[in-house]
Amino acid sequence: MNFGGKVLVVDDEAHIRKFVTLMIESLGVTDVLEAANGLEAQQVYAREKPKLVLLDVNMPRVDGIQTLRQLKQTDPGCRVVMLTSLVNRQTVEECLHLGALGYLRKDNPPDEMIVQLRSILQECSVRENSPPARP
Amino acid sequence: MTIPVPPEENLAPDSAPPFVDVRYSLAALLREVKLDRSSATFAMEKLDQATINLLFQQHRAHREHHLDQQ
Repeated sequence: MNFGGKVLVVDDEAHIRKFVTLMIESLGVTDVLEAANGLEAQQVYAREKPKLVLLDVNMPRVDGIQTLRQLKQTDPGCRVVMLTSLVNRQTVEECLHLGALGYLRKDNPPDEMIVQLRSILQECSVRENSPPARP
Repeated sequence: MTIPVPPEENLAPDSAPPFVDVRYSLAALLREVKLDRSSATFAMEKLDQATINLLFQQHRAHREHHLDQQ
């Protein structure tokens, strides 16, 4: 897959970050960055400007929703996909209205995750020159 | 075999008709939907991946349609 850009994976659990990173790399993305919490994510985002952020919701200190809100405030064009096991309607709709590009269930089987991630990466590539999701 | 149906005039005067035409105003319906959506049961409903994808697609389509109109 031709995805010319960086992907930032944000999750407080190291093994999840590693797992997601491996999956993204298997899709041909070579530049995958990691952050362990919302605060770190904002710093890495400001420094590296990744093309896509995969963001966990349930994290200590600064959670994913707060991080999404702040990322969208500083860069309305940022592309964020939530990656979480928190799948209640309220949280999904909140992320949707805050401008998340997508929402992936962490408990999807790995082959389903690969399919979903591929589709997200393709969509990002297609939308590179089109207006991004805004809140 | 046919079941004999009593003619209408033979029904007991206090028995209710089988169908009642009930109409709700749009405002009342919308109020009810809003109440439903704000209820804890609805908000805490667990969504599967297909439903989540559908929500995002609908939102995107709605947004693009809105942008086209501007």
